[in-house]
Amino acid sequence: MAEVSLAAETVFHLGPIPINNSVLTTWIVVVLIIIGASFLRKAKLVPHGLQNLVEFLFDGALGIMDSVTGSRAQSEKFFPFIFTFFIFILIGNWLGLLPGVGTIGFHEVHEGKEVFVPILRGPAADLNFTLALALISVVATQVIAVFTIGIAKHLKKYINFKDPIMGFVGALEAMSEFAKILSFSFRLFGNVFAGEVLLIVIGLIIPYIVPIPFMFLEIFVGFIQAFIFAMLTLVFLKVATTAHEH
Amino acid sequence: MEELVKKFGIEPALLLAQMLNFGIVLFVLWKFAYKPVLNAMRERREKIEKSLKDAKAVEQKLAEAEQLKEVKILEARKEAQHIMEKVEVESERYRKQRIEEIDAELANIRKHARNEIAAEKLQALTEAKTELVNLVISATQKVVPQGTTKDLDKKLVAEAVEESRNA
Repeated sequence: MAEVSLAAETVFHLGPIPINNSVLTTWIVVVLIIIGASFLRKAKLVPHGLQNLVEFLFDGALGIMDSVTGSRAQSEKFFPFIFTFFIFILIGNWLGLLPGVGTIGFHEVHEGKEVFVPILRGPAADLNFTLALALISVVATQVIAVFTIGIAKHLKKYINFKDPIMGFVGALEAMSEFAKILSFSFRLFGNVFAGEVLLIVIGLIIPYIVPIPFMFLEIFVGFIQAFIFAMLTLVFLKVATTAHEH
Repeated sequence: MEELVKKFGIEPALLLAQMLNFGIVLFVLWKFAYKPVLNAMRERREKIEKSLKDAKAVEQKLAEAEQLKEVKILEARKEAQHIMEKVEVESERYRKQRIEEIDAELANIRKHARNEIAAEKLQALTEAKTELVNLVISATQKVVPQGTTKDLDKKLVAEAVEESRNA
């Protein structure tokens, strides 16, 4: 019987650091993205091939971002940050669905029990990955907000002594920032991890044909989760860089 | 909390590693994908906008040129008409002048001719008269016995002829 560990399994140790299979997969994602980006280094005025596709994607993404920011200039300013979240999570999620990921590995005796250690595992199926992204998203939003509207105006959103109601709302806002870290990380982790478990379970019950629709479902979920993460970050960014007028 | 961290396998070093991964991806994409591609897109948009604007300007210029051409043609036509009218007037004037000249010349020639004819006529008449006088003298000499008429004055005869003609 296959056992799915909530924590990503450690594959090897790099000095004192235990490298787990999700980090390995993330490195593959990073390499893939670097290779892809290297093709775009010399973007031409007359596009062809990959540049066409990428421009189509960028333009579509900017169009969706416009619906949130309301201005193309701001969309272009936030674009690198937001789109990196999207593409990083998306490629990670889809890579995690490839056959061999999560199934090729070795057996290891761990705490007196023999456990199966897959070499690769979807990046978002490890809380380290999602928590790292959530921290970056929330912290960067705060930093960008401070740089955009100034530290005084930004702090006023959280600390307000003028009247008790606003003071309470400010305190709630401050707490919600920490809640955001948790909701960001657990939403992504939960969805992707659940997807992997689902595929394993379905594969164990009926290994042929039946898992295919679930595979498509997971491809869709992988896209949607990446999209949600990026869009939520964008919405929070937009809210944070808009000064409250009272 | 510690249980939770252990259960989910949270490792600060790995957390940092994943943040670093994101940083690398962000940097690489920014440097090698977003900047060149977005720049290319912006440049293309600007170029197209400029081309469209240029095309509009060219179109406008063309329309202006067309209008100018029309005006010029109209002007030229007017001028041509003007010239034609002038030429007509001039030629009419010239024709009239020429006719006058010719008329004058003709009149002159006619006068000359008349004079000549008159002169010739006079000469012929004189000649005829002389002839006639001679004829009368010789006839008279034939009729009247010789000698008496020998001294017949020519002048007298001429007077007589003239007198008889006038009578």
